[in-house]
Amino acid sequence: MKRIETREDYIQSLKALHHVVYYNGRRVDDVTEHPALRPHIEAAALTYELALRPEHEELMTATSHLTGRKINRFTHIHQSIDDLIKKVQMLRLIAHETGSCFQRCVGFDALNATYMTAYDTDRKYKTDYFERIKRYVIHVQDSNVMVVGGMTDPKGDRSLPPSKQSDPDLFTHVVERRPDGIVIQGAKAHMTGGVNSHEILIMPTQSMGEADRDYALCCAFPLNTPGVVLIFGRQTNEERKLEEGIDLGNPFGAVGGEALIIFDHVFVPWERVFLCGEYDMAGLLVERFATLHRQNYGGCKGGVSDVLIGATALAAEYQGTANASHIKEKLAEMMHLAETIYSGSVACSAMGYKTPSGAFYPDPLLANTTKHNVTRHVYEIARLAHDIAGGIVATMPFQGDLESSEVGRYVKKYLAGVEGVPVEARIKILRLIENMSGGTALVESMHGAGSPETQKVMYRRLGNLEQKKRWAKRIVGID
Amino acid sequence: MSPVKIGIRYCGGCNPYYDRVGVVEEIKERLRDRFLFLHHNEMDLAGLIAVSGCSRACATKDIELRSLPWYSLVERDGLDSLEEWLKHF
Repeated sequence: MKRIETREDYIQSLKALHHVVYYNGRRVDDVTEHPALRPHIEAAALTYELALRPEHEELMTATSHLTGRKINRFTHIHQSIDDLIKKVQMLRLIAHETGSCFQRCVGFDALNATYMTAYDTDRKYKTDYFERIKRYVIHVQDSNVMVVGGMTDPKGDRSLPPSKQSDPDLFTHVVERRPDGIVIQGAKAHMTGGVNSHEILIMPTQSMGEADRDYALCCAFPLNTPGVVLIFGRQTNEERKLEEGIDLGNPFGAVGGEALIIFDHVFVPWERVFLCGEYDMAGLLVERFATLHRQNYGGCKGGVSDVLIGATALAAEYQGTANASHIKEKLAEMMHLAETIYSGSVACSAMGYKTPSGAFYPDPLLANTTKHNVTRHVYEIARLAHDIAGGIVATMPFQGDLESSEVGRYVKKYLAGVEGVPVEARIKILRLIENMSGGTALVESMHGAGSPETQKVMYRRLGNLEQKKRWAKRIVGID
Repeated sequence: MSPVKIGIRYCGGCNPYYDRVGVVEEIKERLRDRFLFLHHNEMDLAGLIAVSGCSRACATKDIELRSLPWYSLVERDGLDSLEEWLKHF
């Protein structure tokens, strides 16, 4: 495969993929031509395009420790604290350009988590997963393909382990082992960037017991492998994307564009299998992926929040409320919350450490704290955006009304704000706020990289509560 | 007389306070008769300009390892000082 360098290369590579994608019940022949998928493609395309610009080279590129070649940072295995921090900075940078999720970090984190865990699995079980994942990483780096990070199984009855489910396919599992590879069956849900990626790296979704050994599975394969079917997930205001224009709000879409990906007897060669049956290693892989992914959110949602804050400030300027003290106060609060989540991502990166594999890993407790803050602060930032922008965010006429020969003049007359600001500019900014602060965007901040309760699990595990009690006792002299 | 080659090293631009690229274009235009501004990895450079988007000056990281005279630009208002520094070449 020719290395993908530019936005155009990326788009052409998707045209050539011919993977099986469904949208609202219909097969999509070319994802790049579908108006509902194109915004997400354009967002992801920036992860390629920005890496070519000298003013972003420091963050968007790295040197491969495996080949010495210059690579896109999304394909890099973290080799230092500096790499961990640059990852977060890179995510904030890209978010400034898109105001939305650009999807590629999930596969980035899956590569790093698998790399670290393959090393540990080999040490315990004398397998050769580490050599395989190194070769796979080189393939990803050299081709610059986009990889889906495939963790979340549909899970069925959450009170039952995988092997006890009424339908064994509700968690992805091995159904056949052959001399040349394995056959897998199942699905992965909420797959960010699924329909506009090239390959998928699937991981177990939770810790596994011995009875679940066939579910302790980590492997990679192209998304056009026979048996792979992708079903795009409907978002809030999905049909806006079909209209394009002002009412779309953000030309880069809302969040990443997620898919349900089905694996119907999919063959994977052993060369691309990085865990198969070593069930006691599944939990470690899950935890590492989760930590690496939670590390991100202060960067990407910090950057997205920057755009929302900018839009909100403009909305206030355009309607003449910018000088009101409560508006300034609220904007300051929004900035405080955005920098708080960003500082968490920087902190967990700065306190990261080297794993036995040589790859660097962020501090898990701080990464979970960061993500947990995001589950709250993004909602508050959105609430303040609504407060400042006003009810007009929810009641504006259509773009069609603005352009109507019959009523357009009324829209221009009665949606005017301060003199000198075109009404169209005001409407565009308000639609951007609507897009960025509603429905799907908020839910993604809540549940992306793990729901709030999963962060609380980590607080209980890593929060050092017994030591905290000892400190309290010591201060007041309790034995 | 051959133009003096100066390398430009950018920070990554995670949160710039000014248009770094625009400022570099401006300095290129001001001094195009005497200087050639190139990528910082080019050979035979006389000096380096570290263009950072803010006072954190990330573009200066490890720059001393290049053993070249260097100037750190962290704001748009630093252009005149930069021009003064370049006059020494």
